[in-house]
Amino acid sequence: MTTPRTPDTVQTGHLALVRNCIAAAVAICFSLNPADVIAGDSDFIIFLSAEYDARNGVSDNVYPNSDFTPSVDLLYTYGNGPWRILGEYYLTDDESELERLQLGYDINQNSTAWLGRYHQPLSTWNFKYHHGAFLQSSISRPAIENWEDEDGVIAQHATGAMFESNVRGRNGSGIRYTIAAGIGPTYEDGELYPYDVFDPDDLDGGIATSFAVSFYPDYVDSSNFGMVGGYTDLVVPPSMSLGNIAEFEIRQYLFGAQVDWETRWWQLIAAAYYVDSKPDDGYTQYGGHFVSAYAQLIRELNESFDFYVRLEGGINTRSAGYLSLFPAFITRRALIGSRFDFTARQAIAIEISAVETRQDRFGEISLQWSGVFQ
Amino acid sequence: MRMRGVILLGIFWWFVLPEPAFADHAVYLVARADCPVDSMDALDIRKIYLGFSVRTDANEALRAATNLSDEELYEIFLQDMMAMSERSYDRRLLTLTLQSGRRRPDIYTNSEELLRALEQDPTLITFMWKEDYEAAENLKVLRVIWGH
Repeated sequence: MTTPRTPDTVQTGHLALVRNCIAAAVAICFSLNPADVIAGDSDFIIFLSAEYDARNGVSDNVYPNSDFTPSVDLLYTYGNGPWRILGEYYLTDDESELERLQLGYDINQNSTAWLGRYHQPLSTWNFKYHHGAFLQSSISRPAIENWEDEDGVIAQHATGAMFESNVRGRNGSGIRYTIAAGIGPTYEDGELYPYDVFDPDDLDGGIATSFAVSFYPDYVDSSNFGMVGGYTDLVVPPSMSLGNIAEFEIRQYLFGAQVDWETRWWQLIAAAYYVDSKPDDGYTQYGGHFVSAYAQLIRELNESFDFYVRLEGGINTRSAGYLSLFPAFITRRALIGSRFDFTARQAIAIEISAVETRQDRFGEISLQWSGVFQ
Repeated sequence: MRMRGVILLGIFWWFVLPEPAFADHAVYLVARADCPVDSMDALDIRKIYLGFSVRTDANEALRAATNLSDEELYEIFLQDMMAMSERSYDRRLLTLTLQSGRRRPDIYTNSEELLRALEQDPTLITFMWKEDYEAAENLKVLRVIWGH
Protein backbone atom coordinates (compact mmCIF):
# COMPACT_ATOMS: atom_id res chain seq x y z
CA MET A 1 0.00 0.00 0.00
CA THR A 2 1.23 3.45 -0.86
CA THR A 3 2.08 5.69 2.04
CA PRO A 4 2.44 9.12 0.49
CA ARG A 5 3.37 11.01 3.61
CA THR A 6 3.57 9.77 7.12
CA PRO A 7 4.64 12.22 9.81
CA ASP A 8 6.61 9.62 11.74
CA THR A 9 8.46 8.31 8.68
CA VAL A 10 9.13 11.75 7.34
CA GLN A 11 10.56 12.86 10.63
CA THR A 12 12.86 9.90 11.10
CA GLY A 13 13.79 8.95 7.55
CA HIS A 14 17.14 9.44 5.88
CA LEU A 15 15.82 12.53 4.19
CA ALA A 16 14.99 14.24 7.47
CA LEU A 17 18.47 15.74 7.73
CA VAL A 18 18.32 17.11 4.18
CA ARG A 19 14.81 18.36 4.79
CA ASN A 20 15.83 20.16 7.95
CA CYS A 21 18.88 21.69 6.26
CA ILE A 22 16.62 23.07 3.56
CA ALA A 23 14.20 24.33 6.20
CA ALA A 24 17.07 26.13 7.91
CA ALA A 25 18.18 27.69 4.60
CA VAL A 26 14.62 28.80 3.89
CA ALA A 27 14.37 30.26 7.36
CA ILE A 28 17.52 32.28 6.78
CA CYS A 29 16.39 33.43 3.31
CA PHE A 30 13.00 34.58 4.58
CA SER A 31 14.10 35.77 8.05
CA LEU A 32 12.05 33.17 9.89
CA ASN A 33 12.86 31.30 13.06
CA PRO A 34 14.60 28.05 11.94
CA ALA A 35 12.94 26.11 14.76
CA ASP A 36 9.49 27.21 13.58
CA VAL A 37 10.28 26.26 10.02
CA ILE A 38 11.62 22.84 10.93
CA ALA A 39 8.60 22.19 13.15
CA GLY A 40 6.15 23.62 10.59
CA ASP A 41 4.22 21.99 7.78
CA SER A 42 7.00 21.25 5.36
CA ASP A 43 7.39 18.67 2.68
CA PHE A 44 10.43 17.46 0.78
CA ILE A 45 10.08 15.33 -2.34
CA ILE A 46 12.77 14.02 -4.68
CA PHE A 47 11.98 13.14 -8.29
CA LEU A 48 14.71 11.06 -9.90
CA SER A 49 15.04 9.94 -13.49
CA ALA A 50 17.58 8.51 -15.90
CA GLU A 51 16.98 8.66 -19.64
CA TYR A 52 18.81 7.16 -22.59
CA ASP A 53 18.05 8.36 -26.14
CA ALA A 54 19.37 6.70 -29.30
CA ARG A 55 18.82 8.28 -32.70
CA ASN A 56 18.97 6.77 -36.13
CA GLY A 57 19.46 8.76 -39.32
CA VAL A 58 20.69 12.04 -37.83
CA SER A 59 22.33 13.95 -40.66
CA ASP A 60 23.33 17.24 -39.04
CA ASN A 61 25.14 17.98 -35.81
CA VAL A 62 22.22 19.51 -33.92
CA TYR A 63 21.28 16.24 -32.21
CA PRO A 64 23.84 13.64 -31.09
CA ASN A 65 23.44 10.01 -32.07
CA SER A 66 22.78 9.15 -28.45
CA ASP A 67 22.78 10.72 -25.03
CA PHE A 68 22.22 9.75 -21.43
CA THR A 69 20.63 12.17 -18.96
CA PRO A 70 20.33 11.48 -15.24
CA SER A 71 18.31 14.08 -13.38
CA VAL A 72 17.28 15.02 -9.87
CA ASP A 73 14.40 17.35 -9.09
CA LEU A 74 14.17 18.51 -5.49
CA LEU A 75 10.91 20.01 -4.29
CA TYR A 76 10.56 21.73 -0.96
CA THR A 77 7.34 23.25 0.34
CA TYR A 78 6.58 24.97 3.59
CA GLY A 79 3.32 26.34 4.94
CA ASN A 80 2.62 28.42 8.02
CA GLY A 81 -0.89 29.85 8.27
CA PRO A 82 -1.61 31.75 5.06
CA TRP A 83 2.07 31.76 4.03
CA ARG A 84 3.62 29.26 1.68
CA ILE A 85 7.11 28.76 0.34
CA LEU A 86 7.83 26.58 -2.65
CA GLY A 87 11.27 25.79 -4.01
CA GLU A 88 12.25 23.50 -6.86
CA TYR A 89 15.86 22.76 -7.73
CA TYR A 90 16.76 20.74 -10.81
CA LEU A 91 20.07 19.00 -11.50
CA THR A 92 21.23 17.02 -14.49
CA ASP A 93 24.65 16.07 -15.81
CA ASP A 94 24.91 19.44 -17.56
CA GLU A 95 22.71 21.84 -15.58
CA SER A 96 22.06 22.84 -12.02
CA GLU A 97 19.38 25.46 -11.60
CA LEU A 98 16.92 26.83 -9.10
CA GLU A 99 13.80 26.42 -11.21
CA ARG A 100 11.27 27.94 -8.84
CA LEU A 101 11.43 29.88 -5.61
CA GLN A 102 8.06 31.31 -4.65
CA LEU A 103 6.70 32.99 -1.57
CA GLY A 104 2.92 32.64 -1.48
CA TYR A 105 0.14 34.20 0.55
CA ASP A 106 -3.33 32.64 0.70
CA ILE A 107 -5.62 35.65 0.44
CA ASN A 108 -8.55 33.36 1.12
CA GLN A 109 -9.22 29.68 0.60
CA ASN A 110 -9.59 30.17 -3.14
CA SER A 111 -6.88 32.70 -3.99
CA THR A 112 -3.11 32.82 -3.61
CA ALA A 113 -0.63 35.56 -4.49
CA TRP A 114 2.95 34.57 -5.26
CA LEU A 115 6.23 36.42 -5.54
CA GLY A 116 9.42 34.97 -6.91
CA ARG A 117 10.58 32.82 -9.78
CA TYR A 118 7.80 30.73 -11.23
CA HIS A 119 6.82 28.62 -14.22
CA GLN A 120 4.65 30.63 -16.58
CA PRO A 121 1.00 29.53 -16.61
CA LEU A 122 0.88 29.79 -20.41
CA SER A 123 2.35 26.30 -20.68
CA THR A 124 -0.36 23.77 -19.99
CA TRP A 125 2.03 20.85 -19.70
CA ASN A 126 4.72 22.48 -17.60
CA PHE A 127 2.29 24.14 -15.23
CA LYS A 128 0.97 20.68 -14.42
CA TYR A 129 4.05 18.46 -14.40
CA HIS A 130 6.89 20.97 -13.86
CA HIS A 131 10.11 18.90 -13.68
CA GLY A 132 8.51 15.82 -12.15
CA ALA A 133 9.36 13.22 -14.80
CA PHE A 134 7.60 10.48 -12.84
CA LEU A 135 4.23 12.20 -13.05
CA GLN A 136 4.03 12.50 -16.83
CA SER A 137 3.35 9.27 -18.65
CA SER A 138 5.51 10.05 -21.66
CA ILE A 139 9.29 10.32 -21.54
CA SER A 140 9.50 13.41 -23.72
CA ARG A 141 7.43 16.54 -23.52
CA PRO A 142 5.99 18.18 -26.63
CA ALA A 143 8.57 20.39 -28.35
CA ILE A 144 6.52 23.55 -27.88
CA GLU A 145 6.52 22.85 -24.11
CA ASN A 146 10.28 22.30 -23.83
CA TRP A 147 12.22 24.18 -21.20
CA GLU A 148 14.40 27.05 -22.35
CA ASP A 149 17.62 25.06 -21.92
CA GLU A 150 16.16 22.05 -23.73
CA ASP A 151 15.64 23.80 -27.06
CA GLY A 152 12.47 25.50 -25.85
CA VAL A 153 11.17 28.40 -27.94
CA ILE A 154 8.70 29.86 -25.42
CA ALA A 155 9.59 31.64 -22.17
CA GLN A 156 8.71 29.11 -19.46
CA HIS A 157 10.26 30.86 -16.45
CA ALA A 158 9.74 34.40 -15.21
CA THR A 159 10.55 36.28 -12.04
CA GLY A 160 7.88 38.53 -10.61
CA ALA A 161 4.35 38.14 -9.27
CA MET A 162 1.62 35.60 -9.93
CA PHE A 163 -1.99 35.40 -8.78
CA GLU A 164 -4.04 32.19 -8.76
CA SER A 165 -7.72 31.91 -7.99
CA ASN A 166 -10.58 29.42 -8.16
CA VAL A 167 -14.23 30.22 -8.59
CA ARG A 168 -16.54 27.45 -7.48
CA GLY A 169 -19.79 26.98 -9.36
CA ARG A 170 -23.08 25.93 -7.79
CA ASN A 171 -23.20 22.59 -9.56
CA GLY A 172 -19.75 21.47 -8.43
CA SER A 173 -17.96 22.91 -11.44
CA GLY A 174 -15.29 25.56 -11.21
CA ILE A 175 -13.12 28.03 -13.05
CA ARG A 176 -9.47 28.47 -12.25
CA TYR A 177 -7.43 31.35 -13.51
CA THR A 178 -3.85 32.47 -13.13
CA ILE A 179 -2.23 35.73 -14.17
CA ALA A 180 1.45 36.54 -13.93
CA ALA A 181 3.85 39.36 -14.73
CA GLY A 182 7.59 39.45 -14.34
CA ILE A 183 10.99 39.55 -15.98
CA GLY A 184 11.35 37.20 -18.91
CA PRO A 185 14.33 35.69 -20.71
CA THR A 186 17.03 36.87 -23.06
CA TYR A 187 18.10 35.08 -26.23
CA GLU A 188 21.76 34.17 -26.73
CA ASP A 189 23.43 31.68 -29.08
CA GLY A 190 20.45 29.52 -29.92
CA GLU A 191 18.90 29.45 -26.47
CA LEU A 192 16.57 31.41 -24.21
CA TYR A 193 18.06 32.32 -20.83
CA PRO A 194 15.58 33.01 -18.02
CA TYR A 195 16.42 35.75 -15.56
CA ASP A 196 18.61 34.37 -12.76
CA VAL A 197 17.74 35.94 -9.41
CA PHE A 198 21.02 34.79 -7.88
CA ASP A 199 23.23 36.25 -10.59
CA PRO A 200 23.40 40.04 -10.23
CA ASP A 201 25.34 40.28 -13.48
CA ASP A 202 22.66 38.43 -15.37
CA LEU A 203 21.28 40.38 -18.29
CA ASP A 204 17.70 41.45 -17.65
CA GLY A 205 15.08 40.21 -20.03
CA GLY A 206 12.03 42.24 -20.91
CA ILE A 207 8.60 41.97 -19.41
CA ALA A 208 6.83 38.60 -19.49
CA THR A 209 3.11 38.43 -18.80
CA SER A 210 0.87 35.42 -19.07
CA PHE A 211 -2.51 34.05 -18.11
CA ALA A 212 -4.42 30.79 -18.06
CA VAL A 213 -8.12 30.23 -17.50
CA SER A 214 -9.69 26.80 -17.33
CA PHE A 215 -13.11 25.34 -16.77
CA TYR A 216 -13.37 22.28 -14.54
CA PRO A 217 -16.69 20.41 -14.79
CA ASP A 218 -15.76 18.92 -11.42
CA TYR A 219 -14.08 21.56 -9.30
CA VAL A 220 -11.57 19.20 -7.66
CA ASP A 221 -11.08 16.82 -10.56
CA SER A 222 -8.17 17.23 -12.97
CA SER A 223 -10.19 17.24 -16.20
CA ASN A 224 -10.41 20.72 -17.66
CA PHE A 225 -10.24 22.80 -20.79
CA GLY A 226 -9.36 26.41 -21.30
CA MET A 227 -7.26 29.12 -22.83
CA VAL A 228 -3.80 30.52 -22.24
CA GLY A 229 -2.00 33.58 -23.46
CA GLY A 230 0.98 35.77 -22.92
CA TYR A 231 3.20 38.59 -24.03
CA THR A 232 6.98 38.38 -23.77
CA ASP A 233 9.53 41.02 -24.60
CA LEU A 234 12.59 38.97 -25.57
CA VAL A 235 15.90 40.81 -25.36
CA VAL A 236 18.64 39.82 -27.82
CA PRO A 237 22.03 41.24 -26.83
CA PRO A 238 24.77 41.92 -29.42
CA SER A 239 25.88 38.59 -30.81
CA MET A 240 28.47 37.22 -33.20
CA SER A 241 26.24 34.38 -34.30
CA LEU A 242 23.40 36.66 -35.38
CA GLY A 243 25.70 39.47 -36.44
CA ASN A 244 23.82 42.19 -34.55
CA ILE A 245 26.11 44.85 -33.09
CA ALA A 246 23.29 46.41 -31.06
CA GLU A 247 20.74 44.89 -28.71
CA PHE A 248 17.31 44.37 -30.18
CA GLU A 249 13.97 43.07 -28.94
CA ILE A 250 11.39 40.59 -30.13
CA ARG A 251 7.87 41.24 -28.91
CA GLN A 252 6.11 37.92 -28.79
CA TYR A 253 2.38 37.29 -28.44
CA LEU A 254 1.02 33.85 -27.64
CA PHE A 255 -2.53 32.57 -27.56
CA GLY A 256 -3.52 28.99 -27.01
CA ALA A 257 -6.24 26.52 -26.17
CA GLN A 258 -5.83 23.34 -24.19
CA VAL A 259 -7.69 20.31 -22.93
CA ASP A 260 -6.68 17.81 -20.28
CA TRP A 261 -9.36 15.16 -19.95
CA GLU A 262 -9.25 12.04 -17.82
CA THR A 263 -11.63 9.14 -17.50
CA ARG A 264 -11.04 5.94 -15.57
CA TRP A 265 -8.84 4.42 -18.29
CA TRP A 266 -8.14 7.22 -20.77
CA GLN A 267 -6.41 10.57 -20.69
CA LEU A 268 -6.19 13.15 -23.46
CA ILE A 269 -3.79 16.07 -23.24
CA ALA A 270 -3.87 18.43 -26.19
CA ALA A 271 -2.93 22.02 -26.82
CA ALA A 272 -2.52 24.41 -29.72
CA TYR A 273 -0.54 27.64 -29.58
CA TYR A 274 -0.47 30.56 -31.97
CA VAL A 275 2.79 32.48 -31.60
CA ASP A 276 3.44 35.81 -33.33
CA SER A 277 6.92 37.35 -33.02
CA LYS A 278 7.59 40.98 -33.94
CA PRO A 279 11.25 42.01 -33.84
CA ASP A 280 12.60 45.56 -33.96
CA ASP A 281 13.08 47.14 -37.38
CA GLY A 282 16.10 45.70 -39.13
CA TYR A 283 15.61 42.22 -37.66
CA THR A 284 12.32 41.22 -39.21
CA GLN A 285 13.91 38.02 -40.52
CA TYR A 286 13.50 36.71 -36.93
CA GLY A 287 9.79 37.41 -36.78
CA GLY A 288 6.70 35.80 -38.22
CA HIS A 289 3.96 33.68 -36.81
CA PHE A 290 3.41 29.97 -36.45
CA VAL A 291 1.05 27.48 -34.87
CA SER A 292 2.28 24.52 -32.88
CA ALA A 293 -0.08 21.83 -31.64
CA TYR A 294 -0.01 18.39 -30.09
CA ALA A 295 -2.36 15.72 -28.85
CA GLN A 296 -1.39 12.87 -26.56
CA LEU A 297 -3.73 10.00 -25.82
CA ILE A 298 -2.96 7.68 -22.92
CA ARG A 299 -4.64 4.36 -22.30
CA GLU A 300 -4.22 2.95 -18.83
CA LEU A 301 -4.27 -0.81 -19.36
CA ASN A 302 -4.30 -1.56 -15.63
CA GLU A 303 -2.88 -0.07 -12.44
CA SER A 304 0.68 -0.63 -13.71
CA PHE A 305 0.70 -0.34 -17.49
CA ASP A 306 0.11 2.72 -19.66
CA PHE A 307 0.21 2.89 -23.42
CA TYR A 308 0.29 6.24 -25.22
CA VAL A 309 0.55 7.92 -28.61
CA ARG A 310 1.30 11.54 -29.40
CA LEU A 311 1.24 13.62 -32.54
CA GLU A 312 2.91 17.02 -32.83
CA GLY A 313 2.82 19.39 -35.74
CA GLY A 314 2.05 22.90 -36.76
CA ILE A 315 1.66 25.57 -39.39
CA ASN A 316 4.55 27.75 -40.60
CA THR A 317 6.97 25.99 -38.28
CA ARG A 318 9.41 25.57 -41.18
CA SER A 319 9.09 29.09 -42.47
CA ALA A 320 8.66 31.29 -39.37
CA GLY A 321 11.83 33.37 -38.99
CA TYR A 322 11.67 33.24 -35.20
CA LEU A 323 12.11 29.45 -35.23
CA SER A 324 15.29 29.80 -37.33
CA LEU A 325 16.84 30.97 -34.06
CA PHE A 326 16.24 27.48 -32.64
CA PRO A 327 17.63 24.86 -35.04
CA ALA A 328 16.83 21.99 -32.67
CA PHE A 329 13.12 22.80 -32.52
CA ILE A 330 11.06 19.76 -33.48
CA THR A 331 8.51 20.76 -36.09
CA ARG A 332 6.76 17.39 -36.37
CA ARG A 333 6.80 14.24 -34.31
CA ALA A 334 4.81 11.05 -34.03
CA LEU A 335 5.50 8.73 -31.16
CA ILE A 336 4.25 5.70 -29.34
CA GLY A 337 5.27 4.62 -25.91
CA SER A 338 4.55 2.46 -22.93
CA ARG A 339 5.17 2.79 -19.23
CA PHE A 340 5.31 0.17 -16.52
CA ASP A 341 5.03 1.16 -12.86
CA PHE A 342 6.92 -1.69 -11.21
CA THR A 343 6.37 -0.23 -7.74
CA ALA A 344 3.94 2.40 -6.49
CA ARG A 345 6.48 5.11 -7.12
CA GLN A 346 8.95 3.81 -9.68
CA ALA A 347 8.42 3.29 -13.37
CA ILE A 348 10.24 2.38 -16.56
CA ALA A 349 9.15 3.60 -19.97
CA ILE A 350 10.02 3.16 -23.61
CA GLU A 351 9.19 5.57 -26.40
CA ILE A 352 9.70 5.32 -30.16
CA SER A 353 9.49 8.51 -32.23
CA ALA A 354 9.70 9.73 -35.80
CA VAL A 355 11.10 13.26 -35.59
CA GLU A 356 11.39 16.19 -37.98
CA THR A 357 13.27 19.42 -37.38
CA ARG A 358 13.59 22.26 -39.87
CA GLN A 359 16.62 20.63 -41.45
CA ASP A 360 16.63 17.01 -40.40
CA ARG A 361 14.55 13.90 -40.05
CA PHE A 362 15.42 10.93 -37.83
CA GLY A 363 14.10 8.16 -35.66
CA GLU A 364 14.52 8.07 -31.92
CA ILE A 365 14.13 5.46 -29.22
CA SER A 366 14.13 6.50 -25.58
CA LEU A 367 14.30 4.50 -22.37
CA GLN A 368 13.64 6.00 -18.98
CA TRP A 369 13.56 5.04 -15.36
CA SER A 370 11.80 7.48 -13.02
CA GLY A 371 10.83 7.50 -9.40
CA VAL A 372 9.71 9.68 -6.56
CA PHE A 373 11.09 9.50 -3.04
CA GLN A 374 10.48 11.31 0.23
CA MET B 1 -21.80 -32.13 -14.85
CA ARG B 2 -19.26 -31.62 -12.13
CA MET B 3 -18.80 -27.97 -13.09
CA ARG B 4 -22.54 -27.40 -13.07
CA GLY B 5 -22.69 -28.81 -9.55
CA VAL B 6 -20.00 -26.45 -8.36
CA ILE B 7 -21.81 -23.46 -9.87
CA LEU B 8 -25.13 -24.47 -8.32
CA LEU B 9 -23.44 -24.94 -4.96
CA GLY B 10 -21.86 -21.50 -5.30
CA ILE B 11 -25.25 -19.90 -6.06
CA PHE B 12 -26.76 -21.73 -3.09
CA TRP B 13 -24.11 -20.42 -0.71
CA TRP B 14 -24.46 -16.91 -2.19
CA PHE B 15 -28.09 -16.80 -1.07
CA VAL B 16 -27.81 -18.86 2.11
CA LEU B 17 -24.69 -17.42 3.69
CA PRO B 18 -25.02 -14.21 5.70
CA GLU B 19 -23.63 -11.06 4.12
CA PRO B 20 -19.94 -10.44 4.67
CA ALA B 21 -18.99 -9.03 8.02
CA PHE B 22 -18.04 -5.65 6.59
CA ALA B 23 -21.65 -5.09 5.52
CA ASP B 24 -22.36 -4.25 9.15
CA HIS B 25 -19.62 -1.68 9.14
CA ALA B 26 -19.88 1.98 8.42
CA VAL B 27 -17.23 4.58 7.77
CA TYR B 28 -17.60 7.97 9.42
CA LEU B 29 -15.85 11.25 8.86
CA VAL B 30 -15.10 12.47 12.36
CA ALA B 31 -13.49 15.31 14.26
CA ARG B 32 -13.11 16.37 17.87
CA ALA B 33 -16.46 17.21 19.49
CA ASP B 34 -15.63 20.92 19.59
CA CYS B 35 -14.58 21.07 15.94
CA PRO B 36 -15.83 24.39 14.50
CA VAL B 37 -17.81 22.60 11.77
CA ASP B 38 -20.70 20.19 12.32
CA SER B 39 -20.88 18.69 8.85
CA MET B 40 -19.00 18.65 5.58
CA ASP B 41 -20.27 18.22 2.05
CA ALA B 42 -18.67 15.73 -0.29
CA LEU B 43 -16.91 18.41 -2.33
CA ASP B 44 -15.22 19.92 0.71
CA ILE B 45 -14.07 16.49 1.83
CA ARG B 46 -12.57 15.79 -1.57
CA LYS B 47 -10.97 19.24 -1.55
CA ILE B 48 -9.34 18.85 1.82
CA TYR B 49 -8.08 15.35 1.00
CA LEU B 50 -6.48 16.71 -2.17
CA GLY B 51 -4.71 19.42 -0.24
CA PHE B 52 -6.98 22.32 -1.18
CA SER B 53 -7.66 24.88 1.49
CA VAL B 54 -10.94 24.45 3.38
CA ARG B 55 -11.76 27.03 6.03
CA THR B 56 -14.47 27.47 8.62
CA ASP B 57 -16.77 30.50 8.81
CA ALA B 58 -14.27 31.93 11.31
CA ASN B 59 -11.54 31.51 8.64
CA GLU B 60 -9.86 28.66 10.52
CA ALA B 61 -8.12 26.21 8.22
CA LEU B 62 -9.22 22.60 8.56
CA ARG B 63 -6.67 19.80 8.22
CA ALA B 64 -7.11 16.26 6.98
CA ALA B 65 -5.57 13.09 8.32
CA THR B 66 -5.54 9.87 6.32
CA ASN B 67 -6.29 6.78 8.36
CA LEU B 68 -4.09 4.01 7.00
CA SER B 69 -4.48 1.70 9.96
CA ASP B 70 -6.70 -0.61 7.92
CA GLU B 71 -6.29 -1.30 4.22
CA GLU B 72 -9.98 -2.09 3.69
CA LEU B 73 -10.99 1.18 5.35
CA TYR B 74 -8.63 3.11 3.08
CA GLU B 75 -9.99 1.36 -0.02
CA ILE B 76 -13.56 2.25 0.94
CA PHE B 77 -12.52 5.86 1.50
CA LEU B 78 -10.83 6.04 -1.92
CA GLN B 79 -13.72 4.39 -3.73
CA ASP B 80 -16.67 6.03 -2.01
CA MET B 81 -15.28 9.44 -1.19
CA MET B 82 -12.48 10.23 -3.62
CA ALA B 83 -13.72 8.08 -6.52
CA MET B 84 -10.13 7.29 -7.43
CA SER B 85 -7.81 4.34 -7.47
CA GLU B 86 -4.92 4.37 -5.04
CA ARG B 87 -2.50 5.10 -7.88
CA SER B 88 -4.59 7.98 -9.21
CA TYR B 89 -4.97 9.50 -5.76
CA ASP B 90 -1.27 9.30 -5.01
CA ARG B 91 -0.33 10.87 -8.35
CA ARG B 92 -2.93 13.59 -7.98
CA LEU B 93 -1.62 14.51 -4.54
CA LEU B 94 1.95 14.63 -5.85
CA THR B 95 0.90 16.71 -8.85
CA LEU B 96 -0.94 19.25 -6.70
CA THR B 97 1.99 19.48 -4.29
CA LEU B 98 4.36 19.99 -7.20
CA GLN B 99 2.07 22.61 -8.72
CA SER B 100 1.57 24.86 -5.78
CA GLY B 101 3.05 23.38 -2.65
CA ARG B 102 -0.28 22.25 -1.29
CA ARG B 103 -0.07 20.43 2.00
CA ARG B 104 -0.89 16.76 1.66
CA PRO B 105 -2.89 15.09 4.43
CA ASP B 106 -0.84 13.57 7.22
CA ILE B 107 -0.96 9.81 7.25
CA TYR B 108 -1.47 7.69 10.33
CA THR B 109 -0.88 3.95 10.28
CA ASN B 110 -1.59 3.61 13.97
CA SER B 111 -5.12 4.19 15.33
CA GLU B 112 -3.89 5.24 18.78
CA GLU B 113 -1.66 7.92 17.29
CA LEU B 114 -4.53 9.14 15.15
CA LEU B 115 -6.82 9.43 18.17
CA ARG B 116 -4.14 11.34 20.06
CA ALA B 117 -3.77 13.72 17.12
CA LEU B 118 -7.54 14.27 17.06
CA GLU B 119 -7.54 14.98 20.79
CA GLN B 120 -4.90 17.66 20.31
CA ASP B 121 -6.35 19.46 17.30
CA PRO B 122 -10.01 20.50 16.92
CA THR B 123 -9.45 21.39 13.26
CA LEU B 124 -8.23 17.91 12.32
CA ILE B 125 -10.67 15.63 10.51
CA THR B 126 -10.30 11.99 9.60
CA PHE B 127 -12.29 8.90 8.73
CA MET B 128 -12.69 5.70 10.74
CA TRP B 129 -14.87 2.65 11.24
CA LYS B 130 -18.11 3.23 13.10
CA GLU B 131 -16.96 0.87 15.91
CA ASP B 132 -13.76 2.84 16.39
CA TYR B 133 -15.77 6.05 16.61
CA GLU B 134 -18.12 4.51 19.15
CA ALA B 135 -15.20 3.27 21.22
CA ALA B 136 -13.50 6.65 21.19
CA GLU B 137 -14.53 9.60 23.31
CA ASN B 138 -15.05 13.25 22.59
CA LEU B 139 -15.54 12.86 18.83
CA LYS B 140 -18.40 13.82 16.55
CA VAL B 141 -19.55 12.62 13.13
CA LEU B 142 -19.31 15.12 10.30
CA ARG B 143 -20.56 12.77 7.62
CA VAL B 144 -21.29 9.12 6.94
CA ILE B 145 -18.94 8.19 4.13
CA TRP B 146 -20.12 4.61 3.67
CA GLY B 147 -22.74 2.36 5.25
CA HIS B 148 -25.33 3.48 7.79
